[in-house]
Amino acid sequence: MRLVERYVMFYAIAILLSGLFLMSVGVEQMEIFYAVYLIEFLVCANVVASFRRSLERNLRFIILMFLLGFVYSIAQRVLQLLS
Amino acid sequence: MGMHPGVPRRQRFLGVFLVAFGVLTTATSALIGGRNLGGLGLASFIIGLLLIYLQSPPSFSAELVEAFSLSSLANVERVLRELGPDTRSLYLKVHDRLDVPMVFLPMEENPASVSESSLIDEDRFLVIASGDPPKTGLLLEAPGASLLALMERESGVDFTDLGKENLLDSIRGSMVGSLELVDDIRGTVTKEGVYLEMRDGSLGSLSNSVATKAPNVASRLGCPICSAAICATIKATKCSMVLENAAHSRGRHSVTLRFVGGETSEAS
Repeated sequence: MRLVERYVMFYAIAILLSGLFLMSVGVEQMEIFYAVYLIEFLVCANVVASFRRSLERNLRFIILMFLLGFVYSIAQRVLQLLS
Repeated sequence: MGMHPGVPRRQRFLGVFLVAFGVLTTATSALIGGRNLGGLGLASFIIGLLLIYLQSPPSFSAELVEAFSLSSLANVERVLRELGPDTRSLYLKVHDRLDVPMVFLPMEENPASVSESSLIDEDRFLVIASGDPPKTGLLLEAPGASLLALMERESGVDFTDLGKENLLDSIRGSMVGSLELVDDIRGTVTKEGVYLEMRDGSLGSLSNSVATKAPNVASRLGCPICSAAICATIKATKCSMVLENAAHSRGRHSVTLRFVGGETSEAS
């Protein structure tokens, strides 16, 4: 199996398990799911990027999108608390 | 930035399916108030996006790579058979990080006497020094030079910046971790030379074919994989090295290198 496929599969298993765990402990906020997935993504990306620089370049755009999504969800929560 | 053109159709289809499934699951969980089901929907959505965007490089079989390179190597084999006498090759020291690793095959044995400075600026294939047979010979680009450039680009390691102590770990990281050229690589670095032993991976049949169809290239210059490891070694050690032995057997290959001026060291 190639490095990219291994990476996607490993990440899929990781977020599936963490998603099931969060569900089982009764977490309901999507922000928490998102934050956990993001942390796992960044860890996996760092591990893989140390082996393959071209993959790191491909992942930069996805990391940026992920972070923007995170900023959006935090901003929404802050607005909700303020109102 | 759009969908990557290199994404295979099946992978893209699976990605689109997972994105749609994720959106539907999240929307449904929001509608029925089951918020935590949305977490799994989000996971499915993210994996779908990754599958759509991430390029899985097209995989080529070892037979295809073999078919691409074997004719060129067979031509080099013919040249070696016709011109080159039975001498050991000298991998020349790389002076600058941008230099392409070169290998000199002298017409007469005694590569230690070759003046490297006289060869480094050579842009010729056939170097002729009248009256000095050890300085006359073939000057070739190392068969693994391009592979080394790719190894450096993908692993982010510049072998020129390494010392002898980090050499083996870095070669292993590049060849096993980054490019998956071999399954394992081990070796020893001594004052006299370097010994490397590689266990073949998916490109094993390429090495076997080179050893069978171009035996002079394999034993005197090294197959492209061995040669890439040798090039990395000369870059890191900043020394010229004589290729004492390059042995290829089924599933394994090994190279024994000697620093110019030193004695050969066989280690395991």
